[in-house]
Amino acid sequence: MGCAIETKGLTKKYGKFTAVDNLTLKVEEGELFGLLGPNGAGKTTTIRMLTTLTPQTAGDARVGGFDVLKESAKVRTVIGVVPQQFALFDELTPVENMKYIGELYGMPDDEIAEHTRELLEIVELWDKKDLQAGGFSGGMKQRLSVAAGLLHEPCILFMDEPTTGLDPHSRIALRELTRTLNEEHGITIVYTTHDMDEADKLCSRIGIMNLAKLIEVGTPEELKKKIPRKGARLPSLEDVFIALTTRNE
Amino acid sequence: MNNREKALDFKKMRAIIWKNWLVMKGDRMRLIPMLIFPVLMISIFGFATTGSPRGLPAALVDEDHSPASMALSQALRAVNAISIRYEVGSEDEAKKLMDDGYTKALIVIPAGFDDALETGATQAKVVVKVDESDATVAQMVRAVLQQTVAAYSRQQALAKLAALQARQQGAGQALEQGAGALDSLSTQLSESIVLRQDAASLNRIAAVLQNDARQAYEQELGVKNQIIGFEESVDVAHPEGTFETNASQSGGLAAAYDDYLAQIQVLEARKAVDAQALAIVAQLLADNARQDAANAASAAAASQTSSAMQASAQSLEGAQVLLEPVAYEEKAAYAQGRKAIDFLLPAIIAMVIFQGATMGMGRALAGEKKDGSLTRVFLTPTSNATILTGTMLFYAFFEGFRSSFLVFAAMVLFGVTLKGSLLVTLLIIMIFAAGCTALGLLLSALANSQEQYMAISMLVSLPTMFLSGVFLPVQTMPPILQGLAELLPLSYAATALRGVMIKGFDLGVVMPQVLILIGFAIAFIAIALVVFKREIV
Repeated sequence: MGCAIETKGLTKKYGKFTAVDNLTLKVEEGELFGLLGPNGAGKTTTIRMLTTLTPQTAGDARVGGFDVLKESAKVRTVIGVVPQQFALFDELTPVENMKYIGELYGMPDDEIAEHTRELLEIVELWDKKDLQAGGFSGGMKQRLSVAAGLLHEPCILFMDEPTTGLDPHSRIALRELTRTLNEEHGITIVYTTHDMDEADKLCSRIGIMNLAKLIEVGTPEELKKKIPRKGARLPSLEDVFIALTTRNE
Repeated sequence: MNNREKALDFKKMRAIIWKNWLVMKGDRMRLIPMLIFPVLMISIFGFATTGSPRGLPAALVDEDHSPASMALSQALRAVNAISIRYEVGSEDEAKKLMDDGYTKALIVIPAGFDDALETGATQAKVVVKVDESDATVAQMVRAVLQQTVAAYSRQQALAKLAALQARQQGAGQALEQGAGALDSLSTQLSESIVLRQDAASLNRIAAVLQNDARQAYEQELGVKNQIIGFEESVDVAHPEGTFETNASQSGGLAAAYDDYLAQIQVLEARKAVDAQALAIVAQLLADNARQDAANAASAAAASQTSSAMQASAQSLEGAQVLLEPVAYEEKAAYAQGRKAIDFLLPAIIAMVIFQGATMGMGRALAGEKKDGSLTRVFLTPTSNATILTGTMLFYAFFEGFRSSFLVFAAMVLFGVTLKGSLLVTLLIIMIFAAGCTALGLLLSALANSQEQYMAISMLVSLPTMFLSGVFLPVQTMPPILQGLAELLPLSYAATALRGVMIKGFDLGVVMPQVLILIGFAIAFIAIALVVFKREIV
């Protein structure tokens, strides 16, 4: 199955509350898949289940060909994650952060050093390699987070609202980086965002979640056809999103 | 890249330790206070325990205004621990001062204090009220006042005893004088006895002599009678014949008579010599008897005086024993001449480790969970055991280092001496630090944020500190709390550290405590592994 993702009836419940309900989805290898939805729709919980951070209550999920429950350690070796939070250590420099993460992946020191340089140059942080990350801006921290997520050369990258809180420059830079990783390095990317314009420009396919369910899946163009035109203007993805998520509430 | 997840990966553990050190080193605002804390603790305890409480404010009410009450007032003023800041007319005034927080104690010397002391009919009382709102200060003030009043009471009792002793000494002297008089009387008596005996002897000798004399006289009388008989038998008719016959007889008789006279003279002479000798003997006997009697009387008097003195001393001792039935004498059991801080250090170390590990571990898991950095670790193929053990090892080393730093700081700053081995001390510190870290990890594993962690750890840390005998003696607690104290690792650590550092025990002696501490560490980490959820909620 390579670097694809497949879920069947994936469900997560916290007591009586259902965070994700019967999610069936397939993300092909090399795809940049956007997962959209209002707050509380279940996007982050879905990402957590797929990245082995939260066990599902029911259903199955295979990531990179491995079962997320039974082969969680193997799943972790093929995935990279850029979480919503910085999730690295403010007290450490970019190099130290990368070294720590690399060692936890069991990588040899020279490989860590080589990849660190490559990735820090890509995310344009090499000149800041010896500064404590705590002093970085939000955009720099997110770029470092992307670099850390890619250190062990995963073939699937989960990016959970990576541009939230970033200024337009940082947002554009991160978006371009994501595109490069997908198009030039062939990395399968699952990308969640609240920015419809960003999803429209970036993602090859989009799934929209609402109230714990996946309500629509398709390319941005396919989704835009799901709602009637308003005059001459083709509906935007945002129009689609509003229409679909309002209809389902 | 290694795709396998080992149960315990030492290389990854090393990475976790290294990362934690970098985090600690990078956060100077956290690291510096953590290092300063033990030194601060030992300094506070060190300086606080070198002095005694001073100048705790008190009010005095003297209702008696007598020399005795003034003496007590002076004694109270001489105590450094309290300061008689106010001397007021009534107990109410003094109580008001205490109510307003100006004094910690009020002391009332009631009217009739002096009379009670003088007559001894009833106990003279000093009434004390202590401000109980501050338990520690109240305990301190109470102890100081009890000591002062007891000392004063003892002083009064001793003064009375001294007076009794003086009276007894007077009685002793009178006794001695009486013994002298007795001696003299005895001598006289002895002399009179001897003289009477001598007189009896002389009388006996005189009787013998008298008898001799009587016999001599009777003989003389017999001779005379013979002579008279001769004269009467002269034949008047033929006196010549008779004369001639009797002349020869008369010549014989005269000679015999002369002999008798001579004998009487000899006897008289012997009687005189004997009387002289008897007089000398009597004199000697009298002298000897007088001497013996004097000696005997003197010995008797000395013996009586000594007995009297001994009895007097015994009765004095008895009186003192009655006044103070139990004498408190304290001897150092293990360490002569050691300072209070030497005894405090083991408990402070145990407390610093426990406090540091339980309070500080909030950052380790709960904090990293909250800020997301643990998520990054969860995303790697690293087992829970590796994460927990690696984290525990770092904090155990760190706490061990902090506590060792504390030991050295105490040695340098306060000249603290270790009676036992430094190596064994450090070993116990490391084992206990590992156990406390494991407990901290367990609590941290239960919590999802540092706030939750603080709430959970307070539940454990505060009761532990108060039940483990570091602040309060376990022996004075109710049995149920004593039982609870036995379940606390801090109790065993404090016991083991005290054993080595103060009593000089070697590892073998404290091995039971060390094994229990190891058991605690293993149990805590095992429970932490069970409750530690690799789940981000």
